[in-house]
Amino acid sequence: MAVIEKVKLPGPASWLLNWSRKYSLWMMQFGLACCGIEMGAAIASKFDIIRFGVIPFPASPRQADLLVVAGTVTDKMAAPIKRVYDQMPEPKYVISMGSCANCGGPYWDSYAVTKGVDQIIPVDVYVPGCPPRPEALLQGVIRLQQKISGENPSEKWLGHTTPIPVIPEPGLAGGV
Amino acid sequence: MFDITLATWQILVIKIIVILTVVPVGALVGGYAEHKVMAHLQHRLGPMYPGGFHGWATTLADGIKFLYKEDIIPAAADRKVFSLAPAAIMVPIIMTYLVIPIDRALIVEDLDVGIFYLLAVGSLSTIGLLMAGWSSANKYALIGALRSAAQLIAYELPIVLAAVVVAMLAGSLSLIDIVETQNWPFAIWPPGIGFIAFLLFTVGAVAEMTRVPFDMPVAESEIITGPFTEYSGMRYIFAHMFAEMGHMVAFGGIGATLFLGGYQPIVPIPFLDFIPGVIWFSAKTMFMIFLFLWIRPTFPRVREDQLQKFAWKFLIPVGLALVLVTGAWVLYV
Amino acid sequence: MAVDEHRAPRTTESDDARRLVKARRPGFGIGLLKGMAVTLKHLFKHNTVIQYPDEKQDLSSRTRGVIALKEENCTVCMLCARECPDWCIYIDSHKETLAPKREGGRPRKRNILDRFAIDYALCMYCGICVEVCPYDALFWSREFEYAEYDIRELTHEKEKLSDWMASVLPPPALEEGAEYPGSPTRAPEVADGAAAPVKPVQAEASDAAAGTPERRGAQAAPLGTGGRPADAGAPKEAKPDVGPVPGRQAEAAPAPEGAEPAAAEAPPVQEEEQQAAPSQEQAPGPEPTAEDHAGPGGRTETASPEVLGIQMGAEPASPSPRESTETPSPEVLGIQMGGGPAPSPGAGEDAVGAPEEAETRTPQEGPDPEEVARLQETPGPNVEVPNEEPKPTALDPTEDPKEVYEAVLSDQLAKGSSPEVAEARAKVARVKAERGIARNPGVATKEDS
Ligand code: SF4
Ligand code: SF4
Ligand code: SF4
Repeated sequence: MAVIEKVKLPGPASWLLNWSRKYSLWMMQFGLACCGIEMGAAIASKFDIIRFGVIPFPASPRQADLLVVAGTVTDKMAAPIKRVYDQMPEPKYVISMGSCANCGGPYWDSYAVTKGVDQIIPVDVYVPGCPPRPEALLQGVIRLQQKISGENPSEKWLGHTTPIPVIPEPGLAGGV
Repeated sequence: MFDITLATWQILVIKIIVILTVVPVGALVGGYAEHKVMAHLQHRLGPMYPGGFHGWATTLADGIKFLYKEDIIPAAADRKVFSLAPAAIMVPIIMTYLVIPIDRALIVEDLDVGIFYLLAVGSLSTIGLLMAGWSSANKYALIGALRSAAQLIAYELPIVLAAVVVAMLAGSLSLIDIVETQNWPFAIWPPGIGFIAFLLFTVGAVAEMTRVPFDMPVAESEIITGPFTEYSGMRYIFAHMFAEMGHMVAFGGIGATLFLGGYQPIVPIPFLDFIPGVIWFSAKTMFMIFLFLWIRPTFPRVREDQLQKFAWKFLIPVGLALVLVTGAWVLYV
Repeated sequence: MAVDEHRAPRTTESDDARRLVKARRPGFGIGLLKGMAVTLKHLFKHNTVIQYPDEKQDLSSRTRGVIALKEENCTVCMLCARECPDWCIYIDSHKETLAPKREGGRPRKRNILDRFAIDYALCMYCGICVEVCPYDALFWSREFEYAEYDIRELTHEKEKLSDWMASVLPPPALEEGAEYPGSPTRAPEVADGAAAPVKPVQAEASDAAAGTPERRGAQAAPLGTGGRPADAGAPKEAKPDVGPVPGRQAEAAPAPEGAEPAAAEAPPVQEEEQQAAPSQEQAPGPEPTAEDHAGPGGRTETASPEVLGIQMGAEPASPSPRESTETPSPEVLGIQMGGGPAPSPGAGEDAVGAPEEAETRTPQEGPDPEEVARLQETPGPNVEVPNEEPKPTALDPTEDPKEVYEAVLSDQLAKGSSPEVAEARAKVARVKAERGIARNPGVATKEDS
């Protein structure tokens, strides 16, 4: 890691690193409420998130690259989320799924809900919906993959301080 | 064929290089096969986009990514043991590849006591698992390590008994001899005996690899990832992914050698001889691997006590009885 | 349970126990093999995966994907923003004074929409804004692909919301046998290129039964409106514009309707029971009196006559309440509750889309033709349904609509919008030009203008 931080990587190496991160997103599932059901649906047969190389197997955050926070982040659950995020090794990504995880959603006025998971951990992609369709999560994954392929790996290791790369939107229909 | 004479050390180097490439490549292919077969058994597609064509590069991407992922060693961990454990798991698995005959001449080392060596080396990786679990400073890792030790001991015995049956039938401990004796594969010929031994071996192998339904040591709903809970990055991929897949390929090869006739044709019909032994061996290995993959999405995980009960109260008595029956068969038939 | 025993008297507990014992008998691994066979079978079956970016599901037209704004319909009434439970709709507007239409008239004031934004990060997709909008300016679109890297980008302004208008589908066709509310004889006008819904077969039949082809609109209204609990289930298109308040209606409605239509085939006593039942079971009506009297779900309770009257949109038909011991069938409820034709959508020519649902009713159960004819001659008081269609103030066209259309289209295409989006924007611009609405007031340099 240290080497990558110091040395300027040649283009193909950067590409390879980005490519491998893009298609090997081991996904830590953090289903907290109704959105967790849709996340499950996205993993199951009909939508099959593994098609994108998002592997929903790891049970330990130590092996995960992607944290999907799906559902209502209560204040009580905020600490475990932060902890799981801290336990994940770099490079790591977070998808916030659903209005609750985005910014509180229906519980915008609740005394017990964290208004958005981005208050405690950095979020890479926000998937809107209440709940988002399983395809919407898949589109979020596609957006994340686009973001990853535009990343500069040597900057990435310096933390989440790098500006978000400008990637042309695929248009309304999305797509890879 | 080739008139090249090589010094012993040169041959050794070549063998080492071959084995060291075969194992990771086998693991990558096995991982891909696992994704795809499991997906299709579950009405899914499995990886489709990585690499373009049916996601062929998905395990490759995994491999590259894990190589440069942050490597975390917990503060409370026993650093030396923690770092050595993946090697202790990996090396015995690589060592099993040494004696599996791929063809009559294609074997790294034809030991006279091939079976004995296989069984001895096969149980070594338990030590690695225990090391991993103990050094992680994590209660789940420790529980997982103890579970896997208990399980590997329990299921080593059915495998040993099945191998004893094979050795008795073949009258030899050398794997080449065992293959050569199998005009009919042992799984078919001594009717019943070989097949039951084959089943014993398969069940034991699935348990040794800690795969579903015997994956209590890594049961993610109970103890996260068992001994590998704290492993990340490169160590994880060696300790778990390569080890599991390498193990699977190794057991596929062993099963094919011991019970399916190795590089021999599946039935003793002369015109089948034109197919090279390598192909027979690979086909049989793939069949065994498919069997392992097929079992995984079919059955639910068993409970820890059921797991132990099944081994000690059912598989081992059956194995012992089988040894007696085989003795009678060898003596009187 | 009683029925089950009657049909299969031999199913006893011991039978179950025996089956259980049989299931638990050791199967010597046959069960495991069966399980393996099941998974193997699935290996060769066609899989069910929808390969999302390459292959898309045909979602229902009612899918709650995103809310699209038909900008020219919005009158900045702020209802949506006030009703939104999340307060995630942001509306800014300003007033403009317009020259009087005629010489010497009063100058008019109009609200011009400056900003209409929905924060989709916060929106809970409840659809209240769509329901509540009285001018059909908000629609559900099926689009769901708008995940963003930054949460601020999830607040979409009216330009984006109008773009989504292009993907709004017409409401789905009516079910077989359904009837258009208020106009059984004629399919409603279909605006905005909405697909014509399937004409229900039942429409003619019920019409024949009713015998009056012209019973639509204001005259026949009282029959139905009183009983329908605040039009809760009605689609937004069928919303009566300023629908008569059910309670008030009930007080003032002409005497004898209500139960009368069903009299043709139902004996009075039975009818009485049927009448009582819905008021008790199905009285989610808005009137507090109804709930006070009927109570929630008292099936065998006696309903007071007033309750009946209020529920049925009629005066009490019979003074003697009876116990209802029988559950009325849904059709009967249909007669009672929605016996008359529902009020016309009122939007008339400009009705957007087709009604989504209508009261189902079999032909012979239609209202009494005589009754309807009488009502048409002498409509009761308070039945005038305001038929004025809501639309933005129409002024004289300021620009040539066609020219504007072309200009905006080419402008948008040049800017790189997709053809669909460009066309949608051009259409919006044309409509505005036709109606003389200034395009993008205030912001002269923005797109569209
Ligand atoms: S966003 Fe909606 S669906 Fe998702 S967890 Fe919150 S309330 Fe449930
Ligand atoms: S759907 Fe509900 S939450 Fe969303 S904007 Fe409309 S009223 Fe507000
Ligand atoms: S969208 Fe409808 S409810 Fe909202 S301000 Fe416009 S007209 Fe009123």
